[in-house]
Amino acid sequence: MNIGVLVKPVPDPEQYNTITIDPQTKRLNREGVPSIVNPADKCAIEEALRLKEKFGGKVVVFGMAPPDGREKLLECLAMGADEAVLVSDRAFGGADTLATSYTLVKALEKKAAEGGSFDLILAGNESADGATGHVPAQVGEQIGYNHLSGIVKIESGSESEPSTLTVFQKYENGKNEFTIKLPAVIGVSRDINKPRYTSAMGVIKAKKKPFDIYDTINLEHDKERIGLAGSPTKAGAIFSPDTRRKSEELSGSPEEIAEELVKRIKATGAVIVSGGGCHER
Amino acid sequence: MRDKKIFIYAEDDCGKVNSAYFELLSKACEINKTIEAQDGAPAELCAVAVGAAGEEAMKSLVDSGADVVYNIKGSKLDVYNPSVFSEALTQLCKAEVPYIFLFGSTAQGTEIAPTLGVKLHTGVAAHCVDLRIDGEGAFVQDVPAFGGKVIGEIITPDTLPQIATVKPGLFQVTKLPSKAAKIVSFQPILDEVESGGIVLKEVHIKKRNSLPVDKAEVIICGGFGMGCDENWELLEKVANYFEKSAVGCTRPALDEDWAVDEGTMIGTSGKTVRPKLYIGAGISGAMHHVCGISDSDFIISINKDENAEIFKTSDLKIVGDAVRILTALEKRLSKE
Repeated sequence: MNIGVLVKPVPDPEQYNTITIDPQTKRLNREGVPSIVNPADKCAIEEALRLKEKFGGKVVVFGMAPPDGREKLLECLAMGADEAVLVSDRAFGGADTLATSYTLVKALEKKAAEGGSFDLILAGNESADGATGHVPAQVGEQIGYNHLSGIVKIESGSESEPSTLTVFQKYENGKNEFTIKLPAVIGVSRDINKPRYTSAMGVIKAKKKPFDIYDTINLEHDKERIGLAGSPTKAGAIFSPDTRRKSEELSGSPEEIAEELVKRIKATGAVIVSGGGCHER
Repeated sequence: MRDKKIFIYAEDDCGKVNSAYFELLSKACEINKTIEAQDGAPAELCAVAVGAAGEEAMKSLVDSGADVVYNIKGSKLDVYNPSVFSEALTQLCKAEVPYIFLFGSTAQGTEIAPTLGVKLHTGVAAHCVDLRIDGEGAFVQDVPAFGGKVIGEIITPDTLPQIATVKPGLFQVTKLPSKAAKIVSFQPILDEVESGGIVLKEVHIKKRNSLPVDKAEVIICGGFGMGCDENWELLEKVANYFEKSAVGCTRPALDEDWAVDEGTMIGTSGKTVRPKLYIGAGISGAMHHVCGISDSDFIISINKDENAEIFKTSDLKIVGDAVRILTALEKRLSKE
């Protein structure tokens, strides 16, 4: 089973509180926030590796990023992916999800033409930074494969290589169980698995694995459909929402605090049920 | 002349209309005031229902305050299939050319909206937290980034429809004057559409013992600072003292398996809530969580770390051990 995995380097979500907007330039200041492989994309790699362990084949990771994205793709190779493609060119920059997906589709098609077509394309359901969740659907639609997002479980059934997968999609009231015919694009949620740790051996091996860089010269494309020009949405001003409140402090012993809390709670209109047996919550 | 149309996706929710529709309709109505002032005529507000919308759903759409209800019908549309639904909606959009198309950021909305973006080659703004028409008539969509730390304005200047998804729970529902909407049936041509590629086999509805967090009036929410499984039960005990209450959680608590229902996670990748009372226990206040609670009426936070970020977003702060405070609170509540 040949599996392509779409990955994105993102600023570490643990440090989003430190991101600010420069009051003068109105630009984002994310200085000192390191990049990591988008957490949901690591789950996509993990899922791909498990399928490969079962059915054979290869796992190719694709990342569209500036040149320093190379390091993050090496991390994916160290985790166990077989090949990596960095899609990188200044002209790809400023792309919205439609132009990004178009560019990724061109890269997938080029790699498939050179090394065999993909049965399955996995991606993290959304990136931690932009978090649109559009890319799996938009890649699927543009490459012409079946696609589903928000998947929390993939069942591959039989021992031989499947032509259809059973997938479970998280939705508001529970889960939708679908069958999806391959080839397909699937966006996986972080709930799907816990990604493996990288071994030291993995890191050493990663440096010897095939690594391609696609740019506007070697990747066939329509220049009206990449970067800013290919993006129907335009980004305007950015601002930080003000969520500050007065933050009055309550102090004292736990009992004293509890006494005061009950008064304050009643003032909010919350209804206290005596005896604490509210089963019709 | 009323030449602009605002489409609102009316998603089926077990035979009823998903509540996101009514939230979006209220917002569309607000936007429409600006459109009317600028254009001299308001846009037409249109509910868009796909598949076999039942009698109850149709009635609530007709009475919802929309001008038109598009009822898209066809034999392949009886069961939810994202690729067939997207094709049907594409055909309606090509026929009617809506100015704006709004979806709730539900599982369906987040699948269909970006798919339509490709099929109609237009822009899609994701998980919007606000929508407005600016002074120049541009439809401005505020989208969150970096877990909500930053909000960016997005416009789709050259293509139609301007598609946006909006997180359910963000916009308040206002009762609109009922005007008996006109029902328009639309039959897309779906003979060529392959419907076997994706098949919905079964819907596993999760039984809940309590209210979903986004419907609760009181939320007792726990984070990593709760420390262990046994302490987690304390949240349930405290919640039991309140009517219309629910226990919520953060991502770390879910990762620790203290909270088992991912549907109770609050924040940018979970639910957005606006309860009368939110009590956060052992929560540090990462931006992606804070975004989901910032519309709560009253926020009480308990954390050992006096510099915890969550305190900045709180009405009342208690620096202390969440378990000790909640234990004392439970004891005090038992005397009520």
